[in-house]
Amino acid sequence: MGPSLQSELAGLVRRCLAGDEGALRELVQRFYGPVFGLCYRMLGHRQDAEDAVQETFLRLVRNLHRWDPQRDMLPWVLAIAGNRCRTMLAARKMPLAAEEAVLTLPDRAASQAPADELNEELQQALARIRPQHREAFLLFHEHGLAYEQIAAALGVPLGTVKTWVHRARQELFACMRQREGVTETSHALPRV
Amino acid sequence: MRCHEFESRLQAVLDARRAPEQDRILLDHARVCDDCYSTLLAQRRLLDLLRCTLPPASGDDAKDRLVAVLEAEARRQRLVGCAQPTTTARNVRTGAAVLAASLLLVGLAMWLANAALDSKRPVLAQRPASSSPTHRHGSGGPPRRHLPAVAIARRPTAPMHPSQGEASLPAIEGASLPWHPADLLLEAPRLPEHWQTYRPAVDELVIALPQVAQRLDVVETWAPGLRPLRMTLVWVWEALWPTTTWGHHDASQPKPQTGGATAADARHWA
Repeated sequence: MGPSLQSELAGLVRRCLAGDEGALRELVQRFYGPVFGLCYRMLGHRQDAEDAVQETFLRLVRNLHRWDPQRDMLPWVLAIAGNRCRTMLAARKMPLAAEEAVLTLPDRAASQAPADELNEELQQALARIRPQHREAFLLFHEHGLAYEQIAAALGVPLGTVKTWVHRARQELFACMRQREGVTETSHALPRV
Repeated sequence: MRCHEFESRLQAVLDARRAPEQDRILLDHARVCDDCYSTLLAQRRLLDLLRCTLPPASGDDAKDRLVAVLEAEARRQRLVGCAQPTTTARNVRTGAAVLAASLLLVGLAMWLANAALDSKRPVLAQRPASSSPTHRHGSGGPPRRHLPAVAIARRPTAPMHPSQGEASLPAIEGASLPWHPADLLLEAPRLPEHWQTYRPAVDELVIALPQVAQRLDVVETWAPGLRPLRMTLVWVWEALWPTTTWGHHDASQPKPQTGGATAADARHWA
């Protein structure tokens, strides 16, 4: 993140703390997408994701004065969102029945399936892995955070984050390989 | 390349955010290994899904609702923030509370210590509860030990309290005693040998002790926390008393009794 963007964020936070309601709206506009995306991927349900987003932003507003302007804000916000999601998943007690999810996977190639079904396929694959692994995987692959940022956001060592992401990949690859469509021609690599 | 090396390299390529399909070594192995080939396809499909599928758009009014909630929260926080004391005021209040609690604890500990000592040590002299009009106060609480009221000539004293003006110490019934304080100084046959070195100091102490005790009685009415000091003087006196002529006489000899140097007396005389 460039210094200009960082100073812009610092100004935005100052305005929020000063009670500028327009700044609050701007803050929501800026982070709503990534936060909702993570919450949806973590929870797999839109309404739950919206609840998690609201809790995330409430906590963000309550703790805005603690944000260090020297540090990137997105990992911090996503860490709050991840915590909320994990809390909600723990409250559910049973995130998703993995075997059941596999049985209902749509049997289509990615290029042919409607967007909703592809989305569901991905969600069901993500639901098979542990929430911590899933969060680390999503922060790395979907939100583009570096391992160092993820480690700082989740409060775990760098090596642990790498392990979580690698395990998430292995489990997701295995999940994908279980599907028949994986070897279909739309994804086939050129073989000699 | 072996399959486990393929796996490690695939993870490293993904960690570096490069495309595995462009890694020649991975492709070479995938062409000869069906298992790794399907792994490569799986990762490709997974990352394609991540790239191509977006979470369903949230409701149109979801952001507006969220902003309204956040504005309400921000207003509430500002109100709470106004009502909250500043950090300095909070620190001062905390310090005062801690100090008050400490004083309370110290006072309680001293009171308990006194109570324990009172219950263990023999009473030197105790007046009947209603033997004189000076005992109208002080009912209740542990029995108090009184310093002996030796006969000391009435001398002018400094005012003990602004309201008391030039009030002098009360008259003590020393005239009725069959002994004189000088006897205490001159006759101390039981003073241990090793104390003889300190005889001048002991004499001064014996002279000063009764008056100090009387003053402490008065002060004690204003500051009950000073009672341990008075108790210390009682112990000193108890150590000295047996060394005097009167201390080892039989019970027929009148033992010095408190003549009126109590807090109640002080109030009465005031």
